[in-house]
Amino acid sequence: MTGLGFFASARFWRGALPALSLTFVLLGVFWLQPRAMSYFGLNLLFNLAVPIALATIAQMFVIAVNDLDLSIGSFVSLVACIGATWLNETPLLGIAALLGCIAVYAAIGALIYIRQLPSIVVTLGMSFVWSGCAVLLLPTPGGSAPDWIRSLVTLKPPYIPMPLVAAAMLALGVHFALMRTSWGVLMRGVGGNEKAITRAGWSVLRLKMTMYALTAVFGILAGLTLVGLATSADANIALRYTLLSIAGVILGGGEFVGGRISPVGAVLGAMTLTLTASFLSFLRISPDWQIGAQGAVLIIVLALRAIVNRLEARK
Amino acid sequence: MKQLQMFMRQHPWSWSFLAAFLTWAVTAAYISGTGGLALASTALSFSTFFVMVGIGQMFVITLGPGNVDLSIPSTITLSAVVSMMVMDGTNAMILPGILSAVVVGVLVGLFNYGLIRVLTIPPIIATMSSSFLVQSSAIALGRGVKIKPPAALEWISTAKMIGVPVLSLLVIAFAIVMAILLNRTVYGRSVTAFGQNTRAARLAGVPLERISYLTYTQSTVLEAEIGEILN
Repeated sequence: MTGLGFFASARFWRGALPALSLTFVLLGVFWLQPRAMSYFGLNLLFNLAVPIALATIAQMFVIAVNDLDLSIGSFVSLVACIGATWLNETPLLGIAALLGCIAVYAAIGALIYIRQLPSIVVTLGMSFVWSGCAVLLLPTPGGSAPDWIRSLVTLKPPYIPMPLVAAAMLALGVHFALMRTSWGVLMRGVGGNEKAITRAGWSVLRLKMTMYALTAVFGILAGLTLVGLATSADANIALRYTLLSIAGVILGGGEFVGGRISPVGAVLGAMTLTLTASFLSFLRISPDWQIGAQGAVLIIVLALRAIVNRLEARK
Repeated sequence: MKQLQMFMRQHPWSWSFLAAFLTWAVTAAYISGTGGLALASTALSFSTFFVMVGIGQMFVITLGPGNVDLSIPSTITLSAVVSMMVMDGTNAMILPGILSAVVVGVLVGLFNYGLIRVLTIPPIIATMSSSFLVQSSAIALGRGVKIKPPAALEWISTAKMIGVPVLSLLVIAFAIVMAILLNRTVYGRSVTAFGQNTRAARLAGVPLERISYLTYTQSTVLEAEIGEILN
């Protein structure tokens, strides 16, 4: 396929769909509220998209190995609580707790692989554990974010707002690591063909543990960014991230099986979902319908993808 | 002892019963025996909802890996709101109210099925998206609606027979019916065949489309019924 032919191919459209959906919603916001088209406006629009994008990337690592993490929302909440309490008052204890969380995540990965348990059930159970810890740590909303995190998330680089810089760095960084290195091929291979990886002499156990540990790392980044933006925490602060992150991965072109994922798409998907909520409040639609609209956006984008796939099948 | 081990291996559900019993025993011991029976009775009436949701979800999950219904809680809310509005607090309107809840369940199930089959959206995402829509509709409809359920319905959900909640007895009967449906009818066997080997089932002439549609609808109709009782 050469030249213009590529732009008519189903592959191109499937890859471009996440970017097109984001552009479409963004144009809608600009049309309704031209003042959003500024450094300050963009900053406000995409501020809260950064923790969601990080959580989406975390979820993507688990989806890449054909599992699903139903505990990411409560895990991010717990991290936010740790960030607003221990990390602020006794930094060493806070860092130790966060490292402990990574170890627990790796252990869950090992447990799921060794005992061949369904990840949905195990992570659903863990979500209650994380929530319980968060409530014990911070029974009432409060605490305060460490100053260094707050100054980090409120950085104001010249010309381009911080959330966009962060999202681009995240998308490109993870894209390079997972899609352009031999290590990334191995990781995706676990989701694609576990047996082939085993036969080639790699330890699937170790690879799965690494993927779960990476999920924890990005979950921690999400929690710390969130607490930096919100300045205080609450045990339920990020519960909806579980579903949002799964939706973001799928919206970005990922699939549940086969190690088919797209880091750039996942970040774009998370940003689209965040922006939809703002779009509706600019439309002055009653907040009752905001969740519903996120569902509608998901359905529309996935319907478009189904059409692209069908066109491809007809050829 | 050997026999017991064999039994537990062949019947995985026995672990759940064991866990339930142990939890009850520990809690009863903790409150030093007083009200152990009351505890069991309360647990029975609260668990009725979970039993019904669980049976609906089980049918969907039986369809095979990846099949799951996330629209359960929102469908419960929506059907409850709709039927409460239809009933308007009068005993005479109970039947139309229940019917309206069933209609809500059928519609949501139809919608879910359409998303999954026609648009080939993975079930978990499809039912999640539709649950967002359903939830919003329920919130928008239910704004300011605060109608007391009709007296007869309220009576059923709190009445007791020899210390056992009537609701629990109904749910036990319901579970038995559903077990027969899954294990002894063509429909039930088709659902299982679908989940175990879709291709073999298709070759054997099982009408897959109709089965999966029925199952998703059945799940949401059950949810609608729960909405009814939860009031």
